[in-house]
Amino acid sequence: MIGMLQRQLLLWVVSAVLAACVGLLHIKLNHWNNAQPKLQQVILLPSGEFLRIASLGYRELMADVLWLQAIQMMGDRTLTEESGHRLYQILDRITTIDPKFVRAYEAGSQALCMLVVMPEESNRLLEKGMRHNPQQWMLPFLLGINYFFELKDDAKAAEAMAKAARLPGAPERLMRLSAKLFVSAKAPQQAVELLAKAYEETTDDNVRAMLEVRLKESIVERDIQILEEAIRRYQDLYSQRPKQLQDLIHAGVLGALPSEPFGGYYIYESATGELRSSEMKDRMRIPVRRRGEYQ
Amino acid sequence: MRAILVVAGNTYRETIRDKILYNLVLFAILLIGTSVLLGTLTIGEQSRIVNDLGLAAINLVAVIIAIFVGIGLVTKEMERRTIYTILARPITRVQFILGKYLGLGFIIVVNIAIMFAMFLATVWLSGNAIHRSLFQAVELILVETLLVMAIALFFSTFSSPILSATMTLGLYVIGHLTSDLKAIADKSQSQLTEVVLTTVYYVCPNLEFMNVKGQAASGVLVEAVYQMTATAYGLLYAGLILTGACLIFQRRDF
Repeated sequence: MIGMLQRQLLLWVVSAVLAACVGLLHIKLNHWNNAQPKLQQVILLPSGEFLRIASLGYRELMADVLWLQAIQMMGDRTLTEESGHRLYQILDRITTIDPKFVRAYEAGSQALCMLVVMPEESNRLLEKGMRHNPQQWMLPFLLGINYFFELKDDAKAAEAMAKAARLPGAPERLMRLSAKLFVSAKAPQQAVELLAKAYEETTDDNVRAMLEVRLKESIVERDIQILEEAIRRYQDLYSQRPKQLQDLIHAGVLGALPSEPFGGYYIYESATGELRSSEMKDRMRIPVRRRGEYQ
Repeated sequence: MRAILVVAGNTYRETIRDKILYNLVLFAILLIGTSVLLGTLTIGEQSRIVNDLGLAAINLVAVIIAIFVGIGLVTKEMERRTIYTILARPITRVQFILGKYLGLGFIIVVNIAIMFAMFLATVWLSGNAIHRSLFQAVELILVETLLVMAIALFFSTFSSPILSATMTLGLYVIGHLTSDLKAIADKSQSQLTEVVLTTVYYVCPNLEFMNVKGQAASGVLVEAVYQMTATAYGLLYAGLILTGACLIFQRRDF
């Protein structure tokens, strides 16, 4: 009996010593791993196509595990450019393993612009997401945001927004936003076409009323652009501004004056060359500052 | 010591008679077949794919043996009632447990050695370079397997084989996810979640410490000090779990 107790006691002592040693080694190994940048291990991952096959049918699970790691990386407030590239690599792999992982496209593309300035990579990710998830309006919407804020390409931003606006579930205001972007990109005719199509397809009376106003505003913008172009051609011919808008017709640079869609008329200041509608107080503009425009 | 070796020798012979080495055929098919097939799918990464698959297959087969043979080591003796004849001899319960562990450990070493030789032959025949890092990875796979085996043996001292297998597999999965759990705990808003996850992190074995397969497949060597520390961690943890298994087994009533 005493021998049994002694053996028990010895085993408890051995357990305690081993537990202490394991604890110390755990802490040491932990420090070691923490010293390594979190993203360093990503470079060791095989390609997404290979991982997709190697996941043996557990594609979503593998994508989820990698996504958890990506989230840890995104937890840092800022990333170096190298880390940004690695983040893109892991996001690319996640979305190759599971191309329907919409959240990875959404959050990943934002992280690539917010934590590190990599709009091209962010856009590549979103375009990949759009190919695999053509019904998700959020993806072209984010693409439009990237083109507008990061790359200052209003035309492409407008196209992406228009694409988003046509998808199911997209908020109604997206259509107006894309119209504004087309105007901002000096393509008001596209804004008119977009809004006219949306106006025809919409059955909701409230939405139709709002779209009608926005459509008329876009027509005003288009007309003003036509008039400005005619004034420019007039100036080329006569080396001076026209006194009034009718002069454009007499000079043959314009067939007829466009009619103001709100029922008003176009005001022309010959001294300054400024054009505006009698019914619209403000022009269609997006009053925001983009990257690089902050003080 | 002699008693431990006798039990170990018997365990080794018994396991070999159970045709455990047939798994090598499965390994060969898994490794060579998939390496050739998947190698054609990739451009410029064939060496890495072969390395990845080989190391993963060695790890998988070794862990499967460790779990499914490990859980039967003690329970089989109890079901067949052969444990009475063994313990009636001058063999203590601690010696019995250690002998069983040593016997299966030897099987694992032999298995991994043969699989590694087949793997190196595949790498060589496919015209790729054999990196020193592959040896490092396989050494840590062996340590990991010995640790998993100790866990399986520990559970089998007090529960049924199915439950032991389930718990060992569960701990194996947790062991590979603890680093992520710790990261989640650090960023968690809830104090309770943080405490629970941090406790899980420190109590469960962190098997990721012994996972250098990714680096090894790319030919990146890990530092020798890290290798030794991780080896010591794995073996000491296995020792700790075995001590726990001995303590429980001593208290069991036959």
